[in-house]
Amino acid sequence: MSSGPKRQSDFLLWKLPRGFYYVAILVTCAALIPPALIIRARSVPREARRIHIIQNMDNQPKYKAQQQNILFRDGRAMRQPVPGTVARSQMVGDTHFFLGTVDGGYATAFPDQVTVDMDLLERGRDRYMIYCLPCHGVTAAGDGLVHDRAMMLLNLSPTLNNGTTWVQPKNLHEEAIAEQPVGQLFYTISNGKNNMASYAAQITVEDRWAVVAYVKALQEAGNADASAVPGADSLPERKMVLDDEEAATTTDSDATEGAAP
Amino acid sequence: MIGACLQPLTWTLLRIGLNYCQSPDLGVSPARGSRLDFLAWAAETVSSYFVKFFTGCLAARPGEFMGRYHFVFPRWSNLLLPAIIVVALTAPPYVVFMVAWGFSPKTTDVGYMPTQPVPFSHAVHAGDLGIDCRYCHNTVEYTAKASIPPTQTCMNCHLQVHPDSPKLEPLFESYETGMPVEWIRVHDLPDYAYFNHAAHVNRGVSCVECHGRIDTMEVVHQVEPLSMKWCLDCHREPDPHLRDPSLVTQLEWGWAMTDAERLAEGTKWAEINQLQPSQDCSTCHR
Repeated sequence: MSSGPKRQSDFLLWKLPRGFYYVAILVTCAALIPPALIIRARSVPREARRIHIIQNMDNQPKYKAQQQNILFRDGRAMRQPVPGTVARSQMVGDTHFFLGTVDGGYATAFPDQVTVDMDLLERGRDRYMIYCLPCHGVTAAGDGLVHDRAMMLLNLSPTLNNGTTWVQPKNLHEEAIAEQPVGQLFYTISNGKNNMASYAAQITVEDRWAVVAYVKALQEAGNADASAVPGADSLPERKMVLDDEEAATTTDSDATEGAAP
Repeated sequence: MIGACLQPLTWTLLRIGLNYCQSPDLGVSPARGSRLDFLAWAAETVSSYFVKFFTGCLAARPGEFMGRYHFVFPRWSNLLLPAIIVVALTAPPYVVFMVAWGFSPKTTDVGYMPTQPVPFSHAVHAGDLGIDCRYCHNTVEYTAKASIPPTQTCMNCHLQVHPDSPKLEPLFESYETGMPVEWIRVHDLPDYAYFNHAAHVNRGVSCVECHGRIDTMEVVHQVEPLSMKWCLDCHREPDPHLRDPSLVTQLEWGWAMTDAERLAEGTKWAEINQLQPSQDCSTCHR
């Protein structure tokens, strides 16, 4: 140590052996590998399972819903009920409410458990928009988006559409359906009909009655006369003449005045 | 200072090396090919390397303490001190940062995108066809789990649409045998955290807040870290994530709003539903 540098320039002139520089360069490069891997993991979706270094509370010796349990032949941790099991909510002593039938025929009125009011119709619309709209469409005319796509597939060759067959979903405003009693609508939703599957597993009994009420309201509205609109006679008459731009842009009152003579 | 620490060690190493190289007392001349022969060769090679490396460090001073040679640190060894200081100051923060950044759930969990047995596209079904989330995940409003639908739900349409598709083969097999399709779970919370879907969905926390824009994903992947901090962030400041409970499945809702409008809407629904998310440990860990 006594032979230390006397001048700053001497200090800088001391060169480290080359090996030190090589090691320093290698270490610096190696230090860049972890951030590169991390940036990649953060930006690219990956298929590898997640790695948890610290598995805080990750694993509890139990089965969660829909998990696998290899003890059983079907691999399900959730067990199927024994065949013939009837849950309390599925007891069908009251055929009117649970099946939509009365004395072997379709019920013509809503069961006592269901109060037909605005809340029920709102609930029915909500459920209709989830479970019925894809096929039957927003106005129940049988023109939902699934129907549109199926029609598009039908135009492809069978090799491309994998043998798709499709029958247009029913227009619920058809006379034959509009005249059906509420019990029959309920029965159709519960058990399916033709190509339509049963929706009993997806929609609860109460909600199925709500959907029936909403469909009835839709049918009523679809087949109603203009005079059924409250205050229809006091509304201004509106005429649109599409060929004549001037007539189309004039106000309603002008149009009626012009049409009168 | 460093010299005082390193010198005895270096001396020892050096003495061993020099002995093997130069001592006439090595004595034995082991048989060729024996283990001793190899050891002698290895020792000689290593020690000769040491000798070459430290040639500049050896000053011939006969009769001194170490015998023929006296070890003197080269001048460059003074540069090791600043180098060691630099390494000591950068290495620990580097390690801490890499662990915190690399093992964060945003790195380990976000972006998990397994290949499912059936290449089901949410972009087609929930996006293009506009099918409501609850058509398939119909338990979400009533139970803790937003269940994977049974095969029957798929067959509502696929008995008629693409009934011969090879991509749907696992589905048809499941329909015939009654065995479940082995979907791979993407969003998986710790077993000790009890999350309830119904409690959130019915209070106006949309699917999109945790699952992202599923309706635009061809293959579903995780977009949020689903870590405890992330859960608590929302439980502390829920307003920007709330909406009208009837709009929870409208994933694109609010895209045209400014942040202020979105916040006002969230605050409105927090007041209507009187929401005060709990932050107790036992809320989730029970």
